[in-house]
Amino acid sequence: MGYAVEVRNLWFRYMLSEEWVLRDLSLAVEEGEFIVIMGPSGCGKSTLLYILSGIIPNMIRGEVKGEIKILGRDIRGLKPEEITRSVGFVFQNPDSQLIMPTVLEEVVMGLENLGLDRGEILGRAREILSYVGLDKKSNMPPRSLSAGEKQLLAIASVLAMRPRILILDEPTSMLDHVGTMKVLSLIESLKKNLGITVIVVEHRIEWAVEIADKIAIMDRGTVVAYGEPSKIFSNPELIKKTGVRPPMISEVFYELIDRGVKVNRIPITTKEGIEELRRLLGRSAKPGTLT
Amino acid sequence: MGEVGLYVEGRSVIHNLDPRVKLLWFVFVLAASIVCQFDGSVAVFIFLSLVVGMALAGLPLKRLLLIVGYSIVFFIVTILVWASYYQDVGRYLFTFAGVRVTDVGLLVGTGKFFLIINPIVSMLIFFSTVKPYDLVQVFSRIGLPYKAGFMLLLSLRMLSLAVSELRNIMDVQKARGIEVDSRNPFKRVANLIPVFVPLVIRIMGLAWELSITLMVRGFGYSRERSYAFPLRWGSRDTIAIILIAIFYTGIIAVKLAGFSTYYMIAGV
Repeated sequence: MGYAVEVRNLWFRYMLSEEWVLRDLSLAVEEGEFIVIMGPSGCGKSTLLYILSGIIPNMIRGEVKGEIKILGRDIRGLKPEEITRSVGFVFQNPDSQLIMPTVLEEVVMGLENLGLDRGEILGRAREILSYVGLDKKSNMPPRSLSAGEKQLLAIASVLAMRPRILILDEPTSMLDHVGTMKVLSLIESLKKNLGITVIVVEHRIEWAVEIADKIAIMDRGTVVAYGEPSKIFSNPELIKKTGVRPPMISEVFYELIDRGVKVNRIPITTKEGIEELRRLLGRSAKPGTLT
Repeated sequence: MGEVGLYVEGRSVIHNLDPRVKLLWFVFVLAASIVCQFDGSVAVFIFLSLVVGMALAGLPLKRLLLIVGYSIVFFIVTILVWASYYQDVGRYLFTFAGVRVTDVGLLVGTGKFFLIINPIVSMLIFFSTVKPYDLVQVFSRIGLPYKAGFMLLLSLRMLSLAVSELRNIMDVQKARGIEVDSRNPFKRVANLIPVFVPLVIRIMGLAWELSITLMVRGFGYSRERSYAFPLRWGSRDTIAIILIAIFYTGIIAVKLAGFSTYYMIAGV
């Protein structure tokens, strides 16, 4: 399987700015992979996503240096419509992504822009609305939906265009708990059922380590750690340095290590934590006492 | 009843007409109002036809009353201006606000009033009964770029976003102790500055996000776009446009032939 995204030695600074927002950033995402990007505010996460979706430099100007390939093609040689067909983008604020007066019209809008025929437009729209669970609300105005449902609709509107790469920039940051759970379970299902490449900026670490194939941690414009979640969080020094909050269970084990307890591995999920604790407690823990 | 911008959800006979019929209706109303601009006694029939149209569309009476209410001042001013212009022409009727009102002055005044109000009511019916989605297609079908129709749709969207942001900002500023509801009008205006400055900044941000959304949804990349719900011209539309054409060309014809309802009734 080829690379969905290949970025090598990427530098970027916004127009009229002296400061480089991205500095010598490299990242390779294989097709079908699920990547979660994390990092402190202002580290360049959104800027990277804007570049991968063609918003930079098509709408936001600046100086770009380095190599950026989307599905094997240099992004600078692609027309904006070609990028749109391959890369879907979802923002934080669901309200500013919904334009049309009804849910169904919202989903068909992008498909109409692609110039598809009526049958295909309606087929795709109904299929995706059913997938995200909004089929019964297709004639309702988006403003009548909850914040979570609005974000589901924004994702559905992009998914209907069948992008091979879906980019989500903190899609749950403006949602309540229920809305967040709905959106996160939809994103999970994309990995399981649709097999598209997903790149998401998300700070819910416990969720990210369960679902992500790889986690990229960014700091000051570059990727400082990139790999499988278990590898990333097995390095407490690095994690502390970046300021990213590790999973709670990993934090417990960092503390145990600091206190001189020898552990086989640093768990990243509750399930792994229970297994490791069981092993540590070994003889004293009777079966059934630590479940 | 759901409302998006001016659009009022409905299944009336007017709602079901093709938007192009309603656009042509507006053109006929405008033409007839221009021809009848010197004779309110004929132009009033155009207005009455629009009132019937509003009733058939099941539009809230509130909308018509609002138009009538707001136009009363305009009506009085128009009558006074034209009556004073024509106070030495025609038969004396009465004196109003020191102006000698003659029949000619009154006819011209009402005619000029209907010249303005009839197209407004006609447009109100158009926007109240044409779905925002269909507006885009209407523009495409009459040869204008679909982007122009979309701009209307976007402005409706921006309006609703702006209202919601305004509420949020006012709530925040009230919580910070700014008296946006002060009884003193000067203080009230001054206190609105901390509301409008962030509002403008926020609206610019929202407009920016909307434009990026349009980009990622592929808007404007091709000259032509397809439609999931294309407009369909049916026999009902043909009948409607024939009736509209007969009625308004009839009014235009009789007016051009020199007919006046007032002169017929008054026997002048």
